[in-house]
This record gives sequence, C-alpha cells and structure tokens, in this order.
Amino acid sequence: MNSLYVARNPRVAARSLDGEMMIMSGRDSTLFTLNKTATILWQAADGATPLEQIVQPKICTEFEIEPGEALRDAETLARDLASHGILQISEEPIVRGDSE
Amino acid sequence: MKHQRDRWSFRRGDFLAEWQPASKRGWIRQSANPYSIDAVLRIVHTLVLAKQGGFLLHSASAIRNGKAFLFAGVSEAGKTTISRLAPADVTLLTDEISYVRKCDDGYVAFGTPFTGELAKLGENVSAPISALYLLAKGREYRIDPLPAGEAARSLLANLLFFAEDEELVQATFHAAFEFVSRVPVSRLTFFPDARVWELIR
Repeated sequence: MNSLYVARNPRVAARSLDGEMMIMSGRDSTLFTLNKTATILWQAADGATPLEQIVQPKICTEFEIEPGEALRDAETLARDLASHGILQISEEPIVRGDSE
Repeated sequence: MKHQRDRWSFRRGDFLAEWQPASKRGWIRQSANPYSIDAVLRIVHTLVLAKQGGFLLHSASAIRNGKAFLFAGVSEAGKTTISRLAPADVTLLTDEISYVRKCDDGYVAFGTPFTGELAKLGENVSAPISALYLLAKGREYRIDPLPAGEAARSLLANLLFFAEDEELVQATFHAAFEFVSRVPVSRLTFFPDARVWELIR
C-alpha cells in the first residue's frame, strides 16, 4: 500500500487555545474544533512525513493503540479532514509551493 | 458578494451596491424601503472593521461608568430585554449589532444605528470595552467566567460574516482570538428584571 502524505491547508485559519485547536474554513467560515488525535495529526502534517511515520511515534505512544489499527483510523481521519478542506492529502510528498 | 480588484459588489433581491475601500466611496441602487441601506451598511462595516482588527457582533452594548459592556446572544437570548431594563445612568449603544474597534490599548465599542426590537438608535458615543457577556435567561443572577476556548467559540458564533473571502475570514478569526485574550468573557445568567444591572458596573 502506498504511503499517504498530509499537509495543513494554508487557506484555513487556525489557532490553539488552552490546548484546543480551532480551525476556520476560509471557504465558508465553518468553525471546527479538533480532538486530541486530529490535533496531533494537524500539527505533524508537514507534507513531507508519511502518515505511518506520524502515527507510530506520536499517536501509538499517546494512546497505546496497535499500529495497524492506529494507521487505519488516522487515514480515515485524514480523509475526513481533507473533505472539509482542513488538510491536503496525497500519495506523494506535498511541496509547499504546489499546495497553494 | 464579489471582490474584484479594487472593489466589492453586493447583490440582493432588493439592492445592488458597490464599495471601493481605497476611496471609501460606494453606491447603492435599491427599492423604496429602509432596510436595504441598513443591510449594505452592515456589510460595508464588516469589511472596514476586518481590515482594522475589529468586527460587528450580534450583541447589545451599553456604557456605564465610562466602560462599555457587550451582551451577546442569538435571537431571543435577551439582547433587547437587557437593553430595555437599563437604568437611567446607562447609555445604550445598540440592542442588536455592536461596533467593535481595536485600539492601541484594547477594544472600543461605538454606538450604531442598527436596531433590534427596541427600535431605538444607539447614542453616537464610545467607550473602552470592559466585558463581553453571553446572555442566558434563568431564575437567578450570576456571572460565570468562560474558559478561553469556549469564549472564542462563542464569540465567533456571534460575529457577523458576509464575505466568503479567505483573507477576511482569516482576519476576523484572528481578531476574535485577540479580543478574548484582552477582554474578559463571561456567561451572564439573568431573570428578566432590572436587578440584573446591579451586576453590571
């Protein structure tokens, strides 16, 4: 299976407040509050690190979850966040200039 | 709404209007009613304020003892009620839409012509904002400070947004967080009678 790469969408507005990550879509002003897993994913989504390399050290250790299950959940979450325009996903590394 | 080069254009069933930020001029073509110009003014001022770190907020506002207080909430939350109950030493700025401007050392609320059920124009005065209260009707009078995250979410939920414009959305979003970092935000639970104003000083 190909690796999945995730990048923060530069077209949204984001702020962390008291540990809560809030994101507003620049497209339609919808406000999202991310849960802990989504926040970890958002903060690590640099476009260059494959998803499995984010999940293993950052999510598995935090939640004591089996790596395969964690990766499947993370992929579902990444695709969900991408459907809302919060993240960009690709099977290739996402170069900053290409994503804007 | 459309933003093209140096101008914004707005179209609704009852009006067509244009605003040029650089020249601070615009025009409106509307049917014969008093509501179209009101709507256009609200839209234009959300654009103007967003550029300055301010915003229009669904809230009543008033000045007491030289300090401005904002009372936010959706329809029926009590904005008009708390405005109607204001004692004589309170100056009403609006019972519907508050005008919030960022200044060097904080935020200032101004009177507006945007009225709700009270149908009374706000006074043309201003004062530094001392607190934002989110209104909740209840059987008691109490003020509960809100955690920063809840305060920001509540503020964002009550902001006036018209433009689907990424730059403006970003500006207003960050303005809301800046505001809650500088102005105390609390929930004000009140039974609708004049005693609620004993808490607001």
